[in-house]
Amino acid sequence: MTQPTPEPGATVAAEPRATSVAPPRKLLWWRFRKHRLAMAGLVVTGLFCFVAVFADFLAPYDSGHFNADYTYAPPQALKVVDTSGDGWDWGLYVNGYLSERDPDTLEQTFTVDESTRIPVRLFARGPSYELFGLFETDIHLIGPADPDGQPMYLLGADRLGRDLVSRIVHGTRVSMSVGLVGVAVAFVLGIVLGGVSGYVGGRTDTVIQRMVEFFMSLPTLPLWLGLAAAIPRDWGPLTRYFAITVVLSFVAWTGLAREVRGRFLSLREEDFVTAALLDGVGRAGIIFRHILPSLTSHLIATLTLSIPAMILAETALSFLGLGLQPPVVSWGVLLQEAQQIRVISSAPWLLLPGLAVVSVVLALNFLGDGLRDAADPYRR
Amino acid sequence: MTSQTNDARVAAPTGLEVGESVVLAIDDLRTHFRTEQGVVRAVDGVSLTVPRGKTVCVVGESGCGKSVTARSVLGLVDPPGRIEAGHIWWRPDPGTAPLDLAGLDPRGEPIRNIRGNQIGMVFQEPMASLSPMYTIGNQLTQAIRLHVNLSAKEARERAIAQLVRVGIPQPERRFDAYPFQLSGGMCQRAMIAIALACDPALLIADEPTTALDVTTQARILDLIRELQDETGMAVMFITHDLGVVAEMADEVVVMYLGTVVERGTVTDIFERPRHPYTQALLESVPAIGRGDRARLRTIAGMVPHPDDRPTGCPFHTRCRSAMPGLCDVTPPAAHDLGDGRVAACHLLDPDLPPSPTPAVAPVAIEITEPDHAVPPDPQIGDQPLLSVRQLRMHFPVTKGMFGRVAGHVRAVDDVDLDIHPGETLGLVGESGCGKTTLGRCIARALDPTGGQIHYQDPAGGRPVDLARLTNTQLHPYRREIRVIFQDPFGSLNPRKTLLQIIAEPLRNRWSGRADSAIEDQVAEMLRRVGLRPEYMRRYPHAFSGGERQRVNIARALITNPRLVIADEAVSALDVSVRAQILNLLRDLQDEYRLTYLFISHDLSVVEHLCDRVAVMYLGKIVEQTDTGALYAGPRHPYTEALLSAVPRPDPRLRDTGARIRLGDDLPDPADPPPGCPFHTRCPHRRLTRCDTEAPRLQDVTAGHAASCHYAGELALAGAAHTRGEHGA
Ligand code: SF4
Ligand code: SF4
Repeated sequence: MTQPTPEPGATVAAEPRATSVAPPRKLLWWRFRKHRLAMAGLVVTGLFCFVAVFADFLAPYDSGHFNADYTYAPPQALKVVDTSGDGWDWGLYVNGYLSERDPDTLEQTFTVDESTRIPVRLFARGPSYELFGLFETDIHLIGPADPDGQPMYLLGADRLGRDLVSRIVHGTRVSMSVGLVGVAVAFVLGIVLGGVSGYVGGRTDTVIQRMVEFFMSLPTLPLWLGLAAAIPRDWGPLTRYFAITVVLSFVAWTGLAREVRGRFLSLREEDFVTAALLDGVGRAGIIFRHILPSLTSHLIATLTLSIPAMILAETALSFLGLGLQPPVVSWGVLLQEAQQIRVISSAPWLLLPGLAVVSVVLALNFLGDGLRDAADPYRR
Repeated sequence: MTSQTNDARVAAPTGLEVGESVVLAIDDLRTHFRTEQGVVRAVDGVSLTVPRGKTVCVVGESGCGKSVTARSVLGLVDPPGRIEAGHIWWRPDPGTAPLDLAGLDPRGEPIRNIRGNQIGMVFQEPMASLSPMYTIGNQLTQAIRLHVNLSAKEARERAIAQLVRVGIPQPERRFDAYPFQLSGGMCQRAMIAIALACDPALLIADEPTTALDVTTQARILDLIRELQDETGMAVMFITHDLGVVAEMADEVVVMYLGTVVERGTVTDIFERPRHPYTQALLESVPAIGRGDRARLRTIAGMVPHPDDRPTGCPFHTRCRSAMPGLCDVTPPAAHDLGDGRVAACHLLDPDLPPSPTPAVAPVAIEITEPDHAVPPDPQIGDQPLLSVRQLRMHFPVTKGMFGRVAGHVRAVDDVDLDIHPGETLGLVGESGCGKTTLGRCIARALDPTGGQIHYQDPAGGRPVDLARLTNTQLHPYRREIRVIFQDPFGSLNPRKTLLQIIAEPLRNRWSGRADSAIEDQVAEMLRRVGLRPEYMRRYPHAFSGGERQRVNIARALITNPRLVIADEAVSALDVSVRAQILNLLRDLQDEYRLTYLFISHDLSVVEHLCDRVAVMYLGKIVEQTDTGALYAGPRHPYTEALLSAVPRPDPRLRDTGARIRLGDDLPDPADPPPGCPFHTRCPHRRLTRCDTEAPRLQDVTAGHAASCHYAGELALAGAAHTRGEHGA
């Protein structure tokens, strides 16, 4: 009886290379890191998430704070050093406004008054809020040193003299969370239905696929409009917010379901899945221990790529006045203010929420693309 | 590599003056890939010449740089690859001065003019090389009009003439066919038609038959030879298959890790190989018709990855005659041995002081492993371990939106098969004949449509019909019957460690977790298959194809099975690694008293390993008997044709005896021909019964069954008839 001795050199070098013992997650990260644009996307997305989480702290005012004296006040530049006097006077400040009312049109115009100084400080006291609903505080990252003095408008003010910085920051929270929550709902629907469809096959598959096709064949915008219009007007802002999220995810799950189904179908044919079957692994084991882990990286990529669509959809609906309603602020709600050409020409800063939309959508797209490229570290 | 050795190589009398008889001369070509992990020197100092009108075969294992060499000639190296140094002298016409292709811009006009016009090319995957969006005719006329100024009508006529020339039947109809409507063989013919559209002076064929069946391969090889005779073009033929080399080559270039280790005429290389690598390569191939079942000689280890190539002689890590202190330090120069033979090995250096090892004749070096005699077969019991009866596996063909069943593909159609304990049964046939489906039915990865699979536990008990058991009932039997998969990459879950992969069948029986007892068992198994137990925590991506196949074997054997179904288990492996795995399978069979069902399309491997062979055609077994009897005297015309199509690694056999070439490709298995399923291709077909009456599988002589009406009368040639002439 022979011992199948390892033939000399039949084995690879003894010292393990870092990659040989690296779990899949690490390989994915290594590949992802090489993708510059995606890394940038990750950083920007991370920033937006940070803003969304700490909105109360970061914004100088709360979203409803208004001051009718400062309608359409233009942005003020934040200055660090005052050289108007003699010598250098260090310290954060903004210049105040000189307001003038046109006697004929009654239109109020502001000019920046170089001579007045409104001191600004970090960790200033402002309106109080509850951080994470845990403890109450009134510390804000930045704000006028004297909370009862003149207000500051770093990015200008709107029709009611509300601070645009605060509104954008609060809007970030709402818009981002609509995207994330909506995708989460769509995700659950998509995975369950797509997975069942792909793994079970047969009649179930046909039924689910026809359903998906039906939903996909409906024109998206009218569907949203219809559903959004069906939400009773008298619902509270929070209920409405959830209703809108559900409406949005209703359309988004179909793409995910298709993706999941396709992957299930192709993975089911893979030899290693057959091998698991022959190893005596049960159906649940095959799905949860073999197929799903192989899917996760792709799913995360797909998810990331579908968040921007959600955000855009929310923005569009709110812009049309059918989505979220004031007093809830989202980017779409903010942009609604910038609907009139007259407003845009006199107060172009009201378009700034659009910039936020564009940057977050781009960042998420880059991030998703990078994830998708890195998703399969075993590509040959 | 120092510049000194560089010089030595260039200065070596490699016979590289670009004479009039040479179309292509590659001189010290270096093509490197600059990747983030470092520079991969895929081609590192290759010199070779292609004489006018001759066939030069470039042979080597995967990763040796043979394809990159060919692509360098064509200016088709994928980025980040670049030709770093060397010359590629191109002289299509003896009257003109040679042109250096290496100096041309790979995207420039001149090289594009040469590529496709003066040099034709054919690649491995015919389906992938043809655009699925255009018809064959469209692509062909495009190729013609790119280089010749012809009107659309003239181009069409010429294209059809080309299709006729490469033997495509009904060329007018096929002209408008899309690639997916044609079989692989037809596509490869179309590719050749495109490659030869402008009568090139050189055809570069990169593994053109590797993806094809042996019968199709034989005809494609014939075609290339015929066209060469007709046009006088030179052919640079790249392959890993030594049998194909022996059939095709005038001259042979053996490559290893980006360098040429030996060049010479085909007879010299096969009969008097001088380089240790060439010798070892030739020894590790089981040759059909030798009836040789001894252990194969192997080359230790595997081809190192080109990005960590050994210093000195690239082969020294695996060479049996490596001389420490020399081979691992200095790269050997190419030594001219006369008659255009060149080999790069220190043993052939005339100035080398005689070394203590018997250096001059490395042929004589004994291999270290015991060349043990094949042990007596374990008692083959009368009771078959597994007996398959009327097994049927039909796949419905659905049409339209509502999945109307339009017909059935009869992948396995009434198969009877007995497998006795301790034997190795080979199952052979072309791709699409149903052999893999049969294997999967027996393993119950598929639910057969009908029939029985009786499994008799050798420890006693009543036979069970596996075909009727549900998944849960099958559980105990899944440990008795295991499968080794073909694809070493797809069959291992990339997200699991070796421990998790191999222990998978064990974990369900006991606790959900892998405890230390299981770990010990896995470690032991890894050792048995020639891997280090420390590898347990690594992921499959850290291993080469050969090692993964060892993991596959370990997974199959961890449950201590009775029957192992090896589905093309060695097909994806390189020649030298294949020999290692075949030896391993043989050793494990002796050790664990295994029974194998060995499914393969490679008849020489089957002959080497199997006790009995069953031949499948269109879902049916057409012949079944002992290996010796089958190879010496086949009883079914299909077997005869298969055997005769196998290329043999012996150039002297090239023109002996007429080859049987099967016409037409496999009929549609959803609509098998009436009568004898083989009658559409059978060279011995007779009008009386063949196309109306289906033959049954019957014993012709005791223990030799064939399903042909004339099995008893026909005198069919086997593979072993050459044995007397060329005894090993
Ligand atoms: S140079 Fe040395 S290691 Fe290389 S092939 Fe010759 S004997 Fe073997
Ligand atoms: S039965 Fe006729 S067609 Fe079939 S294999 Fe025999 S001779 Fe050929």
